[in-house]
Amino acid sequence: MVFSSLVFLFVFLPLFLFCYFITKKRKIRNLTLLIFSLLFYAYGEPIYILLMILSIFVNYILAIIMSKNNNKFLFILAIIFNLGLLGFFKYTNFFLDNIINIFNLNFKFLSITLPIGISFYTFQILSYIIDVYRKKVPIQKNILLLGCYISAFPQLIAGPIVRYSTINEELQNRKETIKDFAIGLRRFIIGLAKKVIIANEMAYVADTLFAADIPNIGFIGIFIAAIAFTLQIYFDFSGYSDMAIGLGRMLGFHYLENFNYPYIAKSITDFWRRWHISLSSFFRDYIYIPLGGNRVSIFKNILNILIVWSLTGLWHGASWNFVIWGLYYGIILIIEKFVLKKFLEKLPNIFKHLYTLILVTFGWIIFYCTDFTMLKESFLALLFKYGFGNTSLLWHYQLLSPKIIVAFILGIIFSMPTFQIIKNKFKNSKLVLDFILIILFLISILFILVASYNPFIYFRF
Amino acid sequence: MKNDKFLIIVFLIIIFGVLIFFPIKHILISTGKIELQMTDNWKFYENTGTNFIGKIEDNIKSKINSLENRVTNYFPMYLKINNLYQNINYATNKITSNNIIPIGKNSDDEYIFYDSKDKFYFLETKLTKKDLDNRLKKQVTFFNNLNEQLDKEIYIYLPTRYELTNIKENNLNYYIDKFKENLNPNIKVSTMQINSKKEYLKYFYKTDHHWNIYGALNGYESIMDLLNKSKIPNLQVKKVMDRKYYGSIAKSAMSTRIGDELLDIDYKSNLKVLVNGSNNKKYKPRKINYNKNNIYFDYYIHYFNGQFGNVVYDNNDSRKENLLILSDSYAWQIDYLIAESFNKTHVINLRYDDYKNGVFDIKNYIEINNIDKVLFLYEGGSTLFDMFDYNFVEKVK
Repeated sequence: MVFSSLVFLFVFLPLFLFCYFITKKRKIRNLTLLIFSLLFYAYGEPIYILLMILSIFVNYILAIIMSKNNNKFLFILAIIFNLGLLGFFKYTNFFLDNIINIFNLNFKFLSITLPIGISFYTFQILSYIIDVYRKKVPIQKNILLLGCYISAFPQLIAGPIVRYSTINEELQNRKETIKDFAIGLRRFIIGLAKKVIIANEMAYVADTLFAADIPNIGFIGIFIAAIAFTLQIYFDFSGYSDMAIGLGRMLGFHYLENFNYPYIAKSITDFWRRWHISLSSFFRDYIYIPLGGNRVSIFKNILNILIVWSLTGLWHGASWNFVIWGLYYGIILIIEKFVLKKFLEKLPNIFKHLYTLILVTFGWIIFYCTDFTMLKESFLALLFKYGFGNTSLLWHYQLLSPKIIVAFILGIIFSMPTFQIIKNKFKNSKLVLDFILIILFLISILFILVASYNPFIYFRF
Repeated sequence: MKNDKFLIIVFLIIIFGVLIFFPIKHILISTGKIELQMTDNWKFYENTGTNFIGKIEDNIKSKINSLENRVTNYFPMYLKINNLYQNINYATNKITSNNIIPIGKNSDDEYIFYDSKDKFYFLETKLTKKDLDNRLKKQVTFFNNLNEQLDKEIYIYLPTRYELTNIKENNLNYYIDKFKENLNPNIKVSTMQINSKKEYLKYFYKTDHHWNIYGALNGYESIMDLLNKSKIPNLQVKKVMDRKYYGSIAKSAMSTRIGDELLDIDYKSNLKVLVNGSNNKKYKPRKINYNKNNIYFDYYIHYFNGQFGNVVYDNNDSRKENLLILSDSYAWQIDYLIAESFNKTHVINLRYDDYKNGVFDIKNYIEINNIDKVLFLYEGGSTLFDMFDYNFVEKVK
């Protein structure tokens, strides 16, 4: 189930809120959260819900036994179990396809469907297991609470990756208040609007143009497609994170921020401090630092960076373009760290932003094109190999409508901290701001009601 | 705190208000107080599971699909909201367009445009040039292979929707020439001739993707010439609906901006008809039952009523030849007229009944039924580009 759907907004959410707030007993509220979270997941994955329940049970038991004498064997077993599930469901097809291609085999082994959100909840479980083993967090003896942590529907399928240490206390002792509910609601509405008003329109543009004959749409087509996808992925994913953080807050959870206006970054290093913060900090704390981090030789440090970034790429999808995308960032970060750092510091801000945006947009093209012919053609188009492009196709694909143009403009404006400025302006007249939010909510419903195009990018991860 | 409460209350009123509306509307529909309006958003779930788990999954997903259909279509003022949105969309798109206004897409992902000067809708292909080239090649190969395999006369008639005519800018007309050039000369092809917008609007609905009765009649005459058969003389056209017909494109656009007339040929056929092998007296009743609550009700399907996989018209005259027509809904208006000149006329539509999920073996069918001639009567774009890779693996529109 997706947040930007009528079923979620007008069936699931009101029923959940009713059942959740009808009682004040923490246990019942947590049980309600768990049941509704499982229903939420089962709605999209009726069979793989069993996998998640199994995963909760196994990790619950392994963690309890492991914590008794800090058993390293069980710790490794738990890691293997979780990564094994992720590896099996996410990477088996990829692995076998490569074997088939390398050895030129002519048969199909099997086809495994990727359970929604497995990358997110596996990482959450790993954070729990590792932190328990490291004695950074206490063991969770209540399976209901552990189940709530792993499966809580606000962040279940597309993050942010919430670490156990972040909400350990709140699982048992949170306080739901009107103030928090309202703050969360505001955040949820903003996220919903980002998703349905901007991201979906941008998705239509990007998907249409990337699916077109690239030599025919030429430079202008790919340029627009790349900008559209750059905006789509930000508003799609950050919108989802806003909705997740907002829903969590409505229930008394304080999830950490996942985005901090990444497109105003002044370098790629800065960009990755602002983009999908929960993932980059996960890789930093659980892989990069244990590998030695910065406190090793330059050669080892470079190797560590490349390992972390190829894994980051692979986490995003079982396809070579994601690995290349990860390594692309790994290499840029190495260059920035060892070569460009001082030079970049001296550059005027405008050039820093341009430098970052060009590289990020270029990166999104790699990210989008799982097909290497498409990737090659896209780059050639940007190098004017196919000329400026046939602009009449933009008309044919209905991309010049005011709705799309407005979405583009809004996308550019709200990629910057514009909303913060608006919020500050209305600091003393919150009612006006809330009124605007209600209008925004109604417009979002209108868009959902009439929309035929509502994809969520980060589901597939 | 006061502001917080205001926001929360308004939000809760909206979501709970809509939630309560669903069961109320469901009861009203179940008790017949109001009629459910089927829209393009009513999606059908296709079972795909083959094993036990797959079947359980299908069961759950079909229930979810049913819930989603209801939540969407029971939504308060669903059609009105959609209408409002379409009107706003139309008005804003008009700002950036001259006479040709982009409307959106239909359920087949084709692009809908509205010609505001001559007042008609038209569709543009979703396919890229590369796709079109590949598909055309595949189609030509198919027809040529078929010609080699069958020792029968093959005929193709191409009704040309707007984007295939050269009266439209950036049209696909040259594909027709390409198609004919590469086809084995033993295959006889005839194309609808449209030389002006006026002529186009005479032959095609302004709001639907089909040809109208004048177009179909024109097609009938050309087909009879192609098959070298005599035509039924003095066919007259009659009106069958005393209100405006808003066709498939108007339905996708959810607009009553313009409407059409639903007409038919004033001819009563006495042929014996077998539908999927049995005598079906209800076949093609040619009656209109108005659906009061749904302005976009599909009267074309309802009236011409051809949603069957296999229809056989029997003239009971063994001196005449047997004809096989492979077709889509374009044939519904005239197939029985063509059948008057043959002994048995078999009309196959691969979208329906047993053919829907199966594979049609044309060679076998021709042999069993002693077919003399084979006619392909699909909308031109379908014949040129749709992937009905006969052994009919792909479904045909």
